[in-house]
Amino acid sequence: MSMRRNIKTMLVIFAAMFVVLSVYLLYTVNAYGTRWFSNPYNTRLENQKNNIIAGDIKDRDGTTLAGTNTAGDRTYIDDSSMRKATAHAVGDNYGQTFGAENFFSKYLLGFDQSLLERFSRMVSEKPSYGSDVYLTINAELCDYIYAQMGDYKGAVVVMNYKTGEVYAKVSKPAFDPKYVAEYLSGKRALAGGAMVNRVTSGRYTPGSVFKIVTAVAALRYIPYVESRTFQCGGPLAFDRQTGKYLPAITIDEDEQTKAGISGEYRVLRDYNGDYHGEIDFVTAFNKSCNHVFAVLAMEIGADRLARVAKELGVGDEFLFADIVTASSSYEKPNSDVDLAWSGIGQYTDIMTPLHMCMIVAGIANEGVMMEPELLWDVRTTSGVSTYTRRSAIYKKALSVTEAAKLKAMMLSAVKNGTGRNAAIAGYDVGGKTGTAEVSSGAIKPNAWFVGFVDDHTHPIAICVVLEQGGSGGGNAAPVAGKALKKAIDLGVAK
Amino acid sequence: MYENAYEIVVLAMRYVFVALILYILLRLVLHSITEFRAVQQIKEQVRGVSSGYLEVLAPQELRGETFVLRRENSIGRSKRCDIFIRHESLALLHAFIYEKKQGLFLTDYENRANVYLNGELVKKGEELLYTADELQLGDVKLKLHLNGEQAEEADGQ
Amino acid sequence: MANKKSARARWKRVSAAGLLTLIILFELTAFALLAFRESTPDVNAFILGGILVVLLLFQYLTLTSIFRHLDRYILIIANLLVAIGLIVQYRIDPEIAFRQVTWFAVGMVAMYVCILLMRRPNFFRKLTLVIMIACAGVMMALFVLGSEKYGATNWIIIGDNSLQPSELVKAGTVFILAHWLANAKRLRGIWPLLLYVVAVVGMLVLQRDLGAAVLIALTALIVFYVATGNKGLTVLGLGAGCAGAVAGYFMFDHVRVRVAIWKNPWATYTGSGYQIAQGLMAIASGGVFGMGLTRGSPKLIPAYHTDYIFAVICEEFGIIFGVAVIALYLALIVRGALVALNAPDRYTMLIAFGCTVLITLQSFIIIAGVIKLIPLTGITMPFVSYGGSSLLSSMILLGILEGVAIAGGETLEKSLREIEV
Repeated sequence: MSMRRNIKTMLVIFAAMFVVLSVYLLYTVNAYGTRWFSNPYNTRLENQKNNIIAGDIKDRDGTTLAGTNTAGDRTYIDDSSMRKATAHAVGDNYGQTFGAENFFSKYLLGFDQSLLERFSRMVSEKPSYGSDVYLTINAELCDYIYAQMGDYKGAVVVMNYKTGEVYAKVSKPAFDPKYVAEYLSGKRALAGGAMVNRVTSGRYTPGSVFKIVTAVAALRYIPYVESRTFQCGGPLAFDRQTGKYLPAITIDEDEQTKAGISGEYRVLRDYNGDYHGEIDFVTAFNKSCNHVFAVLAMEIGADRLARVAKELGVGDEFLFADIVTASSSYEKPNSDVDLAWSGIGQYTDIMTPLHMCMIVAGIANEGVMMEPELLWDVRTTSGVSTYTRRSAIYKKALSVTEAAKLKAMMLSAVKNGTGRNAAIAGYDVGGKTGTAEVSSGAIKPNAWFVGFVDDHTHPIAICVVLEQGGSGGGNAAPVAGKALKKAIDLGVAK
Repeated sequence: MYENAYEIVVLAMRYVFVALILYILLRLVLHSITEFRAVQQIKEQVRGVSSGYLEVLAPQELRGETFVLRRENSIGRSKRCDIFIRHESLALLHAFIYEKKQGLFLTDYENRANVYLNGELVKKGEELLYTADELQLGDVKLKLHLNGEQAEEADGQ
Repeated sequence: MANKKSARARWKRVSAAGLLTLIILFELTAFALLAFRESTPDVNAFILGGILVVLLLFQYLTLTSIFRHLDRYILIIANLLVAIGLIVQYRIDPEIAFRQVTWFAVGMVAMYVCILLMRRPNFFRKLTLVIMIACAGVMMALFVLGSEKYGATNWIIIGDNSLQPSELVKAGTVFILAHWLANAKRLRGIWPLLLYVVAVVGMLVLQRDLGAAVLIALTALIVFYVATGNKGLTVLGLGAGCAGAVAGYFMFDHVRVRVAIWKNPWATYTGSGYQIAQGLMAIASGGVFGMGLTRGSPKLIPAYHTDYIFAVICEEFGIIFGVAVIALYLALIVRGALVALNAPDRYTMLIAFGCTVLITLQSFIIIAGVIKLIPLTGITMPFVSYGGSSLLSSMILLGILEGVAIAGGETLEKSLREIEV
């Protein structure tokens, strides 16, 4: 009832409100500032281009991918396939995509110049140049990968799993940065979706590569799972109405099961009807057995599986300093049948190629997921480096033991399992294939391969997605294998 | 050339402005704290000695006079009262204002039926006082002003 | 006895001369920078800077010499905020800066009047009913006489000038709240107050001035809680307010739009989200120290001189400066609350606190809206934003606050003298 005491209380509340206001301001500008500033809608960037000559964009070896000529126009590397291969990493000059041209405009357009530089420039009356930006990608690798993808649409990302540097960020189909003005005016035709960066914005159904997540959950929550044997004898049956798992029912492989319906049941089957009989956990992973992983998913339970997905970064709104990327998502299923499908990467599971690569990189890196980096260095026109690259840890997602076990499983998947097409002579490659169904038969499934090279001098991880590529092992794995070999040959990680 | 020089000055001034505003803020806060402490000290002193004062509103010839209140105050015409007011309408010992744990109380000494609080006759017993309360003793109208924390305790139940 | 004598001698008000010098330095430097924008110096900038300094010194010297117990810091902070606003306004368009400074002078006069009026607060108390009818009447008249501006229909436009009478109603409401809630025992008798608040808030909602509606409703609620300490009824009121907000969300399109652009302004960039997106881009472009005075592009942001002036400040002066401005408001609020705590009686205590609450809520709501902490509401930043009626009402609140500060100080001094008998 004391008025004075109430006033004091309200004062404390007001003070807290204003502190929150200040903290929020600082936090939000720190976390999102670069993206807001670099947003193509920000006309300040356009205006600055009138005052300054934009710096060059180069790859890590110094190959100039984008530059400005004496007339003030933006020029690109002569090789047209290399232009397209690096297009999404480099970006365009018309604010259509969110590549380096926009994202690193702070450096390219000289916003970060120190007073001393400006002063000396003014005194010497030289024209003003922005700084040159060196990306972590290797243009030759990107070019090679782009060619290897053939006619498939999709995405390939290659990362260093110890430092997080991105060596290749290829999205196909790609636009040609040289002709963006002509695309906009309609003079030139553009393939559908060419402006979309499938590596970071491609939200795909993961299919069997999601079994990595399920495997982690199994190792964590199911005791002695490695010493168990499972019976993979045929499709699993679920009640049509409630979706409840009916373990007692056995179903014959026949025409109806192909479509997932067998009379009054909903059915989950293995790819091409291959059933493996008596099988253990590691072999089930190698052979990508749907039956076993569906059963495991149901044993793990929706809550725990969702929790593991979250711990691996699914659903996180990634706030990386160098890259803007979409989130992956895992919706917690409510019925057995949905849970079973979600455990093998179907249902409503969504992953981006970049995120899958980060997870695999984490496995290869003893459980530590690194933040992907695109910026290698920034140098002024006089060659002075103004940027110190720091590798940042995104998450310590797995324990060292868990990572070691998964690594072993993935190595064996390439040696003896579905990933054998990704093997390279002289190096141990680990991986997982995925064949993600995207419709009930009409459209071919997406082909996935995620993997890594088990070598200290070449700590490389990769993710390949080929839209409508069919079998992951058949079509995605060979692309991955060749890409990894090329990366090793080029010595990107040195 | 001029634009470039101006630009450099503007860029340099950024740091100056930030430094200035932060220093202004600092000085403001420090001064504020010093002043706050000084006022608190004053209040402590005042509070320690008295809980408030009475201000005469009527009659005209006594208007504006103030009387400081102590823990116990007898009010009346007699010079031996703690608060003595020279007016025929007052009894020698007219009323009593004293401090208890809950606050300041008024009572009609010996039930003379001539003490009014905010227009109402004060009958038997004691009345709790609030700041800005108006007392009438005989023909003398008084207004109560309470100090510092005492105001809070008097307002409280 | 010696103790008390020295105590009195000790109660000298701390001189703010050093602080004033710093502020004058700040103002003049900024205007000088603006003056030399072109190779030929802009005399008007110096004139404006000069006028500002003269007004500041005039206020400080006259008020402190007449009223020893004036709260110097509140005066100084308010002047500093006005100065920051003027600097940014001059940078954008010298003409609006000169208009604002005229309103500042008018506001100053109003402030002096209010300080003097607050010497006799009970005069207002007797007039409470008149004030209530006047405020409610003005609000009702706006339905007929009001024109639309910025989405709200309660502006009065005379030639080139536009005024929002609801700003003055805010100040009036503080008096009304204080009167009815000062003697909290009479809880049963406050239904006229309830009626008034509901009526005014309702009229503001109908006139599409949601910012003012929220402001008055919350102020009434907070002052009610402080005066009565009745947690139950306050929570009930809060609940009713939330229910009203939710109802408003479903009933009114423009409320839905506001919430949508708060969540993701980029999705509707070309339409409703434009303002917020531009504001965020401006703030981000400023970085830590700002782009520098005159080097930003403030005109890209809609309402750059009124509601969104905080984004312009962050763009050109930087984030640290922005946080400093927030801190200035906090300092103002703390001192305002202290004035309330030192008030001589309950009525003036509530008046002072009511003024403080208005300033707190108004500054919080708009800054939080600009940085996307809460959905944007169309209100101005007190003292800083361009706007005649806004500045006028802020100066009036300032005057009322100072009046109470002086009264409180004088009462305390009187008691101090008394005990030295």
